[in-house]
Amino acid sequence: MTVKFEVDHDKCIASGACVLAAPEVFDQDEDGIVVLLREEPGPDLESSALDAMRACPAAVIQTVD
Amino acid sequence: MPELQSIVVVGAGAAGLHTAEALRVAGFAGRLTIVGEEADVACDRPPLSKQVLAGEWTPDRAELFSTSRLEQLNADWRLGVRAARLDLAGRTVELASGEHLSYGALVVATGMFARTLPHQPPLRHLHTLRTLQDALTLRTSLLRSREARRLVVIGAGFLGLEVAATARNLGCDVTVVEPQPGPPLASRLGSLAASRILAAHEDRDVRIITGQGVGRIVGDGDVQAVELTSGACLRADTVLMAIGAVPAISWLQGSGLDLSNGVVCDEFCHAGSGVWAVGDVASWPHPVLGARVRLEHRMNASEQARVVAANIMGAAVPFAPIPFFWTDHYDDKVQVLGWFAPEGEAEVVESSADGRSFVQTFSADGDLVGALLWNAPRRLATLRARLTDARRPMPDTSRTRS
Repeated sequence: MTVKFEVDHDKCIASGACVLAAPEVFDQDEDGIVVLLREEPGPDLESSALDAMRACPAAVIQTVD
Repeated sequence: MPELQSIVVVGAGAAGLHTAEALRVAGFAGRLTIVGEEADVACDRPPLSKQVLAGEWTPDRAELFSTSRLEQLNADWRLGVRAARLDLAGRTVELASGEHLSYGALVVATGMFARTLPHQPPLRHLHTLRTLQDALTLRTSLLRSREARRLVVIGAGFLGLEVAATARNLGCDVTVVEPQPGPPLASRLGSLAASRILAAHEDRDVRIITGQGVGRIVGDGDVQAVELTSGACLRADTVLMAIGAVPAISWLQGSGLDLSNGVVCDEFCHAGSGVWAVGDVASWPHPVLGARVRLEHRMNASEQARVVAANIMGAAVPFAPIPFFWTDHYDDKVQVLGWFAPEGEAEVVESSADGRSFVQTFSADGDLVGALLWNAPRRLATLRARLTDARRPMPDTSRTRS
């Protein structure tokens, strides 16, 4: 089963921690706010996307059941 | 090292939860017990002075971990109970309930509690702000009546000034009192950013009084006024004491651990005898900085958690972060990476034409040591890379863990 992610843009504090951990899955807009590039990153990128979730200092990123 | 059977994490805030998660990710499959003093898992603290106090978020929005993420910790929870005592030799934590928890490794992540004025008796509408409950009761005080909108904040640090901004937006009449002279936050951010923050508050008619101490807070059940050491008296309907926080380590007194600066650890964040410390309580010799530090930042809690979990599992990684924190005042977002060097040089390296954003770098002895971004979050990645490159080789990290 592939893991699906969601982000809460209003919680984002623009630390860029997600982009550092998983640049293929997350980006930032011009205000630094997270942009989710792939809701379902797939098996190759899943572990780095989970790293990004854990690295975020504002609990912006969640997995969806 | 014999295989670890059980780990006890004391503290269910950001530092504790992130360490627990990192331990599971690192492959720890044994018994993991998490002790938390609050009745629930702590919420994330940075939003408390901002969105939660403002009423923009319901409290559940400030949760640290989703339910599924908590479940994946596969932990035994002891919530609503304090750790009372540590038996270092016997590797046992005694809880206030009387329960004894034995451990192979112990993680101290008890964080801090808010400092209060000495000998100050409790009064209604006199607050500190550390927990979710604190934020909700402060909000109730601020909004209780149209005729009771005067807030006095004691302490012009990050917390005090963030609350001042939020309360002003709620329509309160706000005065901030700071015993230190000079512009607030200048020692933490440099004079440029500090003066901009000060101006943002003054533009909104927040009064900031510096260089005056607080004598006492008076009231007759309800708080009524703040008396300054100068003799002046500030009428108040609500008072917030934002005068810093103290490591919550009294339960470790007499255990034999060095508590001279929080929990004193080595560069691996090991305090000795299988005890590790994470987050606000932990001080350790930063291997690049060459000095002992204790960081009270949200980002530090999760970064340190990851390193400590790896080290508990047998690695020997010195903890050498580039610190990061942020603070919000009205529409301005300030981010700081690395270290501000009060004696060093500060230079504005870029700024927007309208002056709404700028980037400042901090140097010490010619080396880049930090950067401040004023409404310029997109520049973080570049500056983080520059700071990483600017690091000198570590003098001695080859020492192995005892």
